Amino acid sequence: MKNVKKVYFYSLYERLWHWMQALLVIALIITGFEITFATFFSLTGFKAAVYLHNIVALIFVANAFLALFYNLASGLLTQWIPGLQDFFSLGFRHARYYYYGIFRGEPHPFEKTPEKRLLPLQKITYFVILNLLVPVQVVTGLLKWSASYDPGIIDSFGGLKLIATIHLGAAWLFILFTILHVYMTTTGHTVFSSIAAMITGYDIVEVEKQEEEKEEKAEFSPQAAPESEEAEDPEKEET
Amino acid sequence: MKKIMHIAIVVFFSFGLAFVLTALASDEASEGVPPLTIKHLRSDIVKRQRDLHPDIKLLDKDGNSVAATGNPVSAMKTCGDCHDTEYIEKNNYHSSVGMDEQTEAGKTPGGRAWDTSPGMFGRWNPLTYRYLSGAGESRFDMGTADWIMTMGPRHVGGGPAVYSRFDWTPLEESAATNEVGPDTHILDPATGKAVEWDWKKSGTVELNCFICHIKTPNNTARIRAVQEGEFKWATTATLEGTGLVERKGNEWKWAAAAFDADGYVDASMIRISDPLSSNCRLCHGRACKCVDPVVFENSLDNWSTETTGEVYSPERISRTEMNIKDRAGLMNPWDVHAERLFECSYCHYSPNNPVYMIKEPTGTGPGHLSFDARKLSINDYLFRPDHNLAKGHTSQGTIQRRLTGIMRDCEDCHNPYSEHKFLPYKKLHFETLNCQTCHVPKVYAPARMMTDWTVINADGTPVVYHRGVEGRANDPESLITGYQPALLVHTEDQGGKRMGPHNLISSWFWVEGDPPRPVRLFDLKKAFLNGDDYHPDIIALLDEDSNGVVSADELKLDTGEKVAAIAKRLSEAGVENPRIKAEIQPFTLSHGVVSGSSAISDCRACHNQRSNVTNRIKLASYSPGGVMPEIVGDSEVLLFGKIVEDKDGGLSFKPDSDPNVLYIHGVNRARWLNITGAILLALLLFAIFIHSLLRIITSSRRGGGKS
Repeated sequence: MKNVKKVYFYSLYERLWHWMQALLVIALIITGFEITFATFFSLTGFKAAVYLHNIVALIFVANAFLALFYNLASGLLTQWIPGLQDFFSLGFRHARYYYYGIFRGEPHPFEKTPEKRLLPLQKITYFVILNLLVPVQVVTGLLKWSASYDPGIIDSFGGLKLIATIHLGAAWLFILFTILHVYMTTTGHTVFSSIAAMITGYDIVEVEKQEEEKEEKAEFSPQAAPESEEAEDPEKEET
Repeated sequence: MKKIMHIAIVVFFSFGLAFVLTALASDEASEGVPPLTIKHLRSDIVKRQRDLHPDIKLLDKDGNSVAATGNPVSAMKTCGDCHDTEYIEKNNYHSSVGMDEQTEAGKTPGGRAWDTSPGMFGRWNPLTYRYLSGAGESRFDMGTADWIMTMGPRHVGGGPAVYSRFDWTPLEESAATNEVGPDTHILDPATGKAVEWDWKKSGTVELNCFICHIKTPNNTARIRAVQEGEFKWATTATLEGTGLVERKGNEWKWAAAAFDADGYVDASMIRISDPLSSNCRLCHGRACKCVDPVVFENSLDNWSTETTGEVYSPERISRTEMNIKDRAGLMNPWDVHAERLFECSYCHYSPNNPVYMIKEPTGTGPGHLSFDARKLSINDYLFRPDHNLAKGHTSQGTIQRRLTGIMRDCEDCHNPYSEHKFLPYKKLHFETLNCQTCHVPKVYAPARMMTDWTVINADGTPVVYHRGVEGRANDPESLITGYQPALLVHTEDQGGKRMGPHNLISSWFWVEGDPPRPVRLFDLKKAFLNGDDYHPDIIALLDEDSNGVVSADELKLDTGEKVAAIAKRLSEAGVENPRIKAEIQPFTLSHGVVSGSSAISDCRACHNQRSNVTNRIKLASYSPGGVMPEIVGDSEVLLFGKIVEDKDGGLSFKPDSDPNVLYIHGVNRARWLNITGAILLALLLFAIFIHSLLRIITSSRRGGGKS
């Protein structure tokens, strides 16, 4: 019999940040869709969509920078950086779980802790998104925006056609990521436990397994997951 | 102190009043003394000044008073006493109309294989059709005298109407010769042979200052003189109705009573003024400050209206007497600038006019200066006003392209950034769109759509179709619906590209020989007509309902057999290798401007794949001979899109936005990328579906629990 217990994973700021980014991404997708497919789709009107898209994008970028600052200041930044093994053995092991183990009821190969909450494939995905996709989208978006003030700038970067095409391609990748991200939340302890965790801050972990596999996981996690009560109880953490 | 101030003011104004009264009294008393005038005037010329303009001594071409000689007036001599008319004539593309830009046939940049200049004298126009023959051409069509009689109604005189195109010697000095030459011969419409023209009898059409510089020129009399070959009387005829001259029978008689002993006339009789819009309209189309209900006619006499549908008038469209659809609700004026009492010359000014001069022709000013503050004094300007009038960016304005863009543009008077608060990406819009794109949203007069010279009416005219009207143009029973112009990108003087409204006129015509030339109108008539009616063979060919009459609907070459039959008849008339050619001439719309409240402000009017940018525009009701038209090379318009056949057998142009030139969100998008994205999205959703389904199945087999 496995024991489960709730562990406090996400602080209030992280949760607010996450849901805000989620809303912003959805808003960007909808308004971007309206700008691109104005012939077939009108929700806010083209002009409002343009203004909203620009404003929302600015808030998105500002929010992203706030998160960067938060992770830098809190020391949590390192958990976003994949190690070499994440790309190979750990990554394959993680992927194997999704295409094989999950159907056979195997236990999840990795255990999340508040300090190591990102699993190998997550690390790789976010690493690509944060270091490639978001910058590309921000830069191309800013270039498009610059045309409002000096159309010559975008011409020196290959013209609006090239920049708009890159922006559109990155937007499609964002859409794919967002859908995949939502689906992956259903692979937690229960279908809605991950989403609930991002609402309440508490996620469910299997304690027994945590104990049994502690040594086994030491291979990829040299520092054993802290079991302090502080991590489980945010009130204590604060005291 | 206050009292002293009051006394000072009273004394000051008393002296001022006394000075003015003295000056007036002096002026009354000293009639005959030259008043203040421009410095170049000799005192012996300026007899009196009862108008702003001094009295005028009307001189003939020998410099003698017309009152004494009875000869035709010469504006060059008359006006040339005070103004440098030779300079004015040489710097005047309205006069030279391309003669100073002549090339060999086919060498005009972007021109047709038979064009010899970018102007009216040498650039063939399918609307007027007749071809200006060059030297040594075997099938003579239009000589210079022919050209004057045909094109002269829209030509101010001077240039090719006075000088030989070959050496700029006066045409009147052309020696009589038996050798057929375009300067010495004209086409005999009866025989199709070249016959000699007597320049000494006809004289030439001198630069006619009066047509533009008097308020009520008699254009009808001028045109009649030109068309009847009385070239030397054309300027004189312009003054008919002023009380100075009248036509008695076939002779022109000067009114002796209007002249003083020295041959001077009161300038107020002629009503000299700056060129008014009403002067420009004589050649360019409906343009006036008239307050009477606007009535217009679609014809080449109303050139701009015919080619674009533009009507430059201050009157509200609702008050017109034309049969315009829903006109009661059309409260806009025909043109907002006309409503604000703008004359054409306010924007199309003389480039060296110190009052208006704001831009210089490209490459003529110091490169490091954006504005040269050194301007002519008003005296110097009035002596030598540059008559290469400022012009804008139009696809049809091929003449003197070097002057393109020096006119007063919208941005030179308006600050678009202070308005247009609703508009995102202002600078991008302003740099890529002409203001007219949104401010000429619709044209309310019919405009020429198609000219078919592959067949002719019984009167020798082409078959013509208009857009913006249900039924035939100029038919009072036809309903004028107006039309939405095509938004096309054209190149500007600095190589930039902007989108703007255009009308597209398609033309089909026969060409012959190699290099090709348009088939002469004479030969067309010979092939089609027999006297005043169609040749019996033509009736047999085209009369589909066999009622003995070729109706308007039947007058078309819509089958290969008809084309072959006409080609055979043309060949029998001596035409070498006749074949059909077709072209599209874009006409840029610059007038018919509406104010902001009526301009396009809905983004989706353009940012939409079914929008003004992509709307089909009809090119032709049918395609004569199945020949597809091509855009003329010198229009500087990028015709991006495709010509498609309509269900009714007509042709339309389906424009598209070239993303490499102008990327428009909502119109342009990477289709391949969206398809790829959509496929990936579908695959992802499918994978998720299968994955989740397998999770449910395997989980239930294991007896539930987490999967």
